[in-house]
Amino acid sequence: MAENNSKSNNNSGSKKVLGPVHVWALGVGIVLVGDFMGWNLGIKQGGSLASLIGLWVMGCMYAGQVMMVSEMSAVMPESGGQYTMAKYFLGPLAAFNVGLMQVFEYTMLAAGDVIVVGQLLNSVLPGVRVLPFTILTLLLLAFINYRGAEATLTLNFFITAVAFICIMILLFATSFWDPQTTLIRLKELTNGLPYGKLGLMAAIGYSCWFCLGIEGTAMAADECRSQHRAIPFGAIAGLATLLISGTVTWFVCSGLIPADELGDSVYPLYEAALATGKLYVFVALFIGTILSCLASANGCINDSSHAWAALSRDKMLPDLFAKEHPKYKSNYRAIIFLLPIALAFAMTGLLDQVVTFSIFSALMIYLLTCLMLYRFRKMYPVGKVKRVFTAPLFPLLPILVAIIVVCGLFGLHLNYGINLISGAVFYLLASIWFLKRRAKFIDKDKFLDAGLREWGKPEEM
Amino acid sequence: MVTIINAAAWILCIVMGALLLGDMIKTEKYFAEKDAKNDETSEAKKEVSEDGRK
Repeated sequence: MAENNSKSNNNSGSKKVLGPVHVWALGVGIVLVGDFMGWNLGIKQGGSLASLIGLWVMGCMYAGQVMMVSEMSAVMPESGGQYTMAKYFLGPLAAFNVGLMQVFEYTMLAAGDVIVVGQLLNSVLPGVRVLPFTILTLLLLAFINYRGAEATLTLNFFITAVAFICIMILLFATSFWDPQTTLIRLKELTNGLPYGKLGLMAAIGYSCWFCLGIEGTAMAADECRSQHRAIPFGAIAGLATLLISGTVTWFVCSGLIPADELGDSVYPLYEAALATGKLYVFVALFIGTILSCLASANGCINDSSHAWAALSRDKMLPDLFAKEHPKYKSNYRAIIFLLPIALAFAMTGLLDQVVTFSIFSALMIYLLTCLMLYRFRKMYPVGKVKRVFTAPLFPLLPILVAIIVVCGLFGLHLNYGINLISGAVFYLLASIWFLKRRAKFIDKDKFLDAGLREWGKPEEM
Repeated sequence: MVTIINAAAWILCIVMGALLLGDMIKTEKYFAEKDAKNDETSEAKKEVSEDGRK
């Protein structure tokens, strides 16, 4: 089985250089930026306590997601993460939508990251213009990705580690362990649950910002030396890191900044550093914010180009994007094609709109992932296909995950209903285009051939 | 000072853009030449096999 997997994976031509540490860095590197900006919108929507509850509720949802994705990704005959799973378990139209949602989830996240880099530089040096630094950051990261995954992820590992250390520096600078000298004033500065249950629902939608993108680790399967070990181990370690850093971030920010100010902050951790009044903390958090944005955008460009190339390889998009660079083995055409799209969104400077579209796309993928696991178990029950990892509590697990995701979508719609409708209309129009223009190019026998060869005929279609 | 920083950022944007596009054009040329060579080889093979049949 493992041999079969590695044989089919070799077809793509990507180098197999990644271990669990790289997978951890790819997952955490994309997501750690959520601690540095964006998460505090949950406090604005539902209050301090709602944000903390939301973090752990969403943490449970992501643990479920990682387990479901790990079960399916380890048996997949090719790379592509949830896109490949949708292809084999839900069919071409769902696969096209999941692929497109992945592309926009990561492209929007990359656009959001570079907006923050430009605006943070502008806040430190007010004369510095946002636009050239936004463009430069995207171009630089696109160039790094263009030169292949190895360089990209080694860099990610380094900057992710530095960004995580910066959060810890802030935590210890508050002397939280000593009641006499501590700077943390949780009792005075937090506001509990001012908007009740509805506020809690709204906060849950934004709390997924703490971990959004961790499931992208499954897309690196093609480049892993041992995907059966690297993907589950790297993803679970990444999620644990994010829950710890998310809780520390909430604790420090809520203890240093009043809740009403924190909800409106553009750079919550950076402002918490300013509140300590210590220069070294201020410098560390400035560096941490910049590096986490760079790491996130770096991983996002990698993931979005992988997803775009996978769509192209299966003829769901024109096949010109599937070509790999002869020297660097990167999806160079996909990287260049997606660059102006990310730039266009980044240049608007509308961080909340970009973030909302990214979250909406991600939540839709999570919902479809629950359906994929259900289909996988129906088509290939546990004894029929050998699994390296089996997700526990089936069918309760996908049901619980789906309930949390629906709560998140409901919470998002409370303040960004128009954005959600716009997103849904976009994917609907894309689906119509796919059915009219691209569905005819898909050879249905060839499309599922690798899966049928590997697992045999499904028990139920 | 700030003007110099802004100008440097714009210049770096142009340099990065040129590096990306330059390599992409080079790669496209490489693939075009490779395709042309493959076409020539397959045509030559076709001609040889047709001659053999005659």
